[in-house]
Amino acid sequence: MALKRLSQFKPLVVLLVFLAAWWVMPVMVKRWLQTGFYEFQAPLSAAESHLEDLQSYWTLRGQSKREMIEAGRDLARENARLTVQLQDNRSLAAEISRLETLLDLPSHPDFRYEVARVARRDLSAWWQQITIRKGANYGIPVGAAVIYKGGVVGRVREVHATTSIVELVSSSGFRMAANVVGEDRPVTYQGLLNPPFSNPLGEVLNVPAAVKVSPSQPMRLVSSRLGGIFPEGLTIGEVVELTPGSDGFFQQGRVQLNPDLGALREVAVVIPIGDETTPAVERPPATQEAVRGD
Amino acid sequence: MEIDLRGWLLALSNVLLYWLVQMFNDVLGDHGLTLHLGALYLILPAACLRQGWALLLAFATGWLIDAPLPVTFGFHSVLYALTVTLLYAFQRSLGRAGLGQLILVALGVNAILILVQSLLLAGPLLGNSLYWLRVGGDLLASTLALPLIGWWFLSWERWLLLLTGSGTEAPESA
Repeated sequence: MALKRLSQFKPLVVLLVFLAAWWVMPVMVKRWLQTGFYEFQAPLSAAESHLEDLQSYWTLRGQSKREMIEAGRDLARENARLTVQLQDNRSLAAEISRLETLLDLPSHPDFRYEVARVARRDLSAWWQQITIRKGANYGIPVGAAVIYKGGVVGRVREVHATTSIVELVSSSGFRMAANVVGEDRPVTYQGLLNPPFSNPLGEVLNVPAAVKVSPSQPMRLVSSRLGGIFPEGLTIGEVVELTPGSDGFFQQGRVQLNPDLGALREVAVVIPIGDETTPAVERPPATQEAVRGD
Repeated sequence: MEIDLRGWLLALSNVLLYWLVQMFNDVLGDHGLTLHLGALYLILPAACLRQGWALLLAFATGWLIDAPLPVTFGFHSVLYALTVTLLYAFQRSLGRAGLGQLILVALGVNAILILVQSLLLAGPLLGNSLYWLRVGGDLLASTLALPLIGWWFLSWERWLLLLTGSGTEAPESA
């Protein structure tokens, strides 16, 4: 009778045994398990991303020759414009370098940009991150800034063999130094979340009381050199409202981030030159051009 | 402990569901919605496997989910292990239940899982109304999607089990 009563608790005992085994498991084993499970599913994410590429390819194949010729012509024009701009940038970089030497100023950090495709997006209420299809094999370092044509994307949180995880600027754990355009004093930006059917949001803290914004006259929030890893002046978002903080000296408010953030296909990892890990494979030349951070 | 082929089939099915849900979320994430269908990983393992195997499967599925996420590794494993043990108490009824009944159970378990995760992972956002709006949106989307995806997934799992000559009934010694 007593044995039968005890057997009722068997499921609970089995659960406790499993939980105890998990809690006493050495950290090394847990880390090994985590890496193993991550690398097991990395090809799944990559396959999904390649399927997306294939889908785009067949969509393009379905377009008429006329449309393709027009697109080619537009691209050629854009190419010509960018080539001129590149020459401009080179001469400006040379001028900056000359002035730095002349005035004995500390030089700006140099970066190279590693362009990578997005393989996976995890945009839940609890975390906002993307996985890119380049990792230790392309010399991506942990903590590197990630940007796109619209501005700041986030920061590399983890680097794996062939993939990296990027914490998005909208993630609640993301913080960086920033500047409101037209204001010299730095402010603090931190991610908030992505409410349903609206743009991702962030918040700005420590804004001087003199700064005034309204939803009809928002102010652009850009990256600051104080942030360290981000080149200066990249768009983070728009400050749409400010309210007085509890201390009375500073304000805080909402930042509207770019709606494209959740649908990114391609991003660029900003790698400070001299802070690179040695890549395991040869990189294609198109992606390793060294350019100035400013 | 003898090896149960059903455990392996259900584990592969969980990997398949995880991949498909990830693909859905890839698209939905842009609209500020995420599907959470955690209950579907656990219903049939709790209904037809021995508890040891069901717990192993719950742990492995949790590890798969946790591996790329910024959460303590093992968070989902522990949560799923607790859920499987609770479901295991109703193993006989679950093993005999029809598809519709299993989906109803999955709906309830899924809603509880989402709310528990939201409370545990909220951090500084716990008092933020926007956070709960987002959680509400995810809960609603998951509740709407679960009957549809669950119908297919549970039928797939049952078909796999029948293909190997076994059913969803509980093991004799359980």
